[in-house]
Amino acid sequence: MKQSRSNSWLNGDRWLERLLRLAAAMSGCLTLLIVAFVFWQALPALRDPGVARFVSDSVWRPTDETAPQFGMTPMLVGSGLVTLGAVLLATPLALFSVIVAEFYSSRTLAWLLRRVLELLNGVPSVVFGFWGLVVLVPLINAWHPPGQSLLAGILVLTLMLIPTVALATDASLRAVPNELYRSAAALGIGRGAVVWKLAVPLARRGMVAGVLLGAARAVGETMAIVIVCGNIVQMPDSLFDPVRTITANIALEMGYATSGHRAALFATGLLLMLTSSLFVAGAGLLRRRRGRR
Amino acid sequence: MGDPKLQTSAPDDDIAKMTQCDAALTEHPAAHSSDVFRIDGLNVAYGNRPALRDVNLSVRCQRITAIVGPSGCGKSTFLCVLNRLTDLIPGCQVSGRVRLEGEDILSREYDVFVLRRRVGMVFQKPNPFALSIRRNLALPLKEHRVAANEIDGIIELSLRDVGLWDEVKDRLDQSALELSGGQQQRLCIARALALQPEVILFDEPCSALDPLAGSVVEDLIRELQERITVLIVTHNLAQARRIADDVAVFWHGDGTGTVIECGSAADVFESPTSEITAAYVAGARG
Repeated sequence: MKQSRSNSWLNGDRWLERLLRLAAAMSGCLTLLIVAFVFWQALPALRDPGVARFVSDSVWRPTDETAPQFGMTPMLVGSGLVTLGAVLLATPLALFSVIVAEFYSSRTLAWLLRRVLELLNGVPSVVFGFWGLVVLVPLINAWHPPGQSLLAGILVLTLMLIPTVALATDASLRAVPNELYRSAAALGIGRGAVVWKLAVPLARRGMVAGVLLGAARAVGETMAIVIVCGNIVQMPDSLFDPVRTITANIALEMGYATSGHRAALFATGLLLMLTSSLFVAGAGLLRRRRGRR
Repeated sequence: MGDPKLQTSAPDDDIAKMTQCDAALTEHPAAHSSDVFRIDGLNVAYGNRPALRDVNLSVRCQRITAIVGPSGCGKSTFLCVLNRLTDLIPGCQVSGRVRLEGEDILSREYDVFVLRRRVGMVFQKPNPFALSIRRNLALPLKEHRVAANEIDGIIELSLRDVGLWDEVKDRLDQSALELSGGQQQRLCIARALALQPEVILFDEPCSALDPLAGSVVEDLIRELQERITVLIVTHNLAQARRIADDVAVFWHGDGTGTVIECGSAADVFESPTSEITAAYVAGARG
């Protein structure tokens, strides 16, 4: 009796395992299918006009009937600058706010700071974009028209990246074992040295991983960028010039794109996917190594 | 400097202080001036939960005092009071008097930075920093403003003291985490010694090590006693018998720990006054 009961329990477990495996396989396959689909759709553009013309063509005029032009250098630069600027601004802000929460504030303040970061993380990007358009863009416009600009994009994106970088960094700082603080205190080591010479170096990998995750998010961000960047395809001369990013370009043109134009957009999508997976993979690698240690 | 005997000695010169301490012992064998620590009516509570109640104890200079007793009777808490690591625990309240050579270390004016230099601590689990061997020793020295040109000499001396110098002299710049457990623990002892403390608190320093490494550390502690006052928490009664000059037995009643017996190791082990102690050292309880 007992035997058969435990058997049926085992069978139930086996079924559950199969179900879980199926679910896992499905989500894995779907991801692969999406990648394959994007690649397949991009393939015509990769063959003709080919990747080289994406950078060598001087203008972006993919809809031209006679001689379509596929120069997307200004958009690549736009994406790169927005990402770089936001990462450069968000990283120190996020690191300092986390270090303040962890080491230099009361429990209440630290709690409050963490909740605010989590809240910020949950704000939809369209809301950030809307806020940027209504508040930030007029301010920049008053300073240096037109307002919708590279700078607006960088600032809005910075706000969005702070929680991403901060929460990942916070996790890695919290993983620093408590014993470290105890043994340092027992040696009479002051807070400054504990923070900067012991805890931060230990958490460094996790911090860099957080920055990479932030960069991955920045590269892919679309909605807020479309709203505040002005979307003019041009090489920006200053922070106040409007720019169009790769993501914004896809969002703006996908609706009406056909054949070669459409394939070119898919090719840029493929590029975005590659870039952000590289960042995510880098972050994963750093975290895994840290775990092993 | 509350103790009049010590007022004449230079406060920064540990060696002078120790000689003074010895002299006091020979002159007045009955007096308490040879006590490094005098603890009177110590109470510790975590929030509303009392952990230690009315602990009274004297710790003799340059002796090994073993603190024994069952788990959860506040032995480690007691050690943490002596260098005020209890400050780190939120909600931990300490009252009573703990005097280190006459000075009340629990008073707000007493500088914990100075206290922790005078009273070192070694934990159960070896806890070197994730730095090189050299930096593990140099960081606390720099923090205590030891002149840069003295640091290398102190590092070598401290590593020799724990018998680690010959094992690591060629790889001082490698990570301390690559050392074996026993080596790491000896490095931690060297790190504490480098600050030239008067007292070192050991919180079960051998229990996380394999028996062989543990016995190396135990021998080391015995050698240290010639220069330093040692307090050691141990679960291992055989170890206490082997190394301790004095023994304090902690016990818990109603969830609160206190000292039920203290005295020389011979007295506590051979002719305990309390029945609980007698049963405990005989291995019947705890």
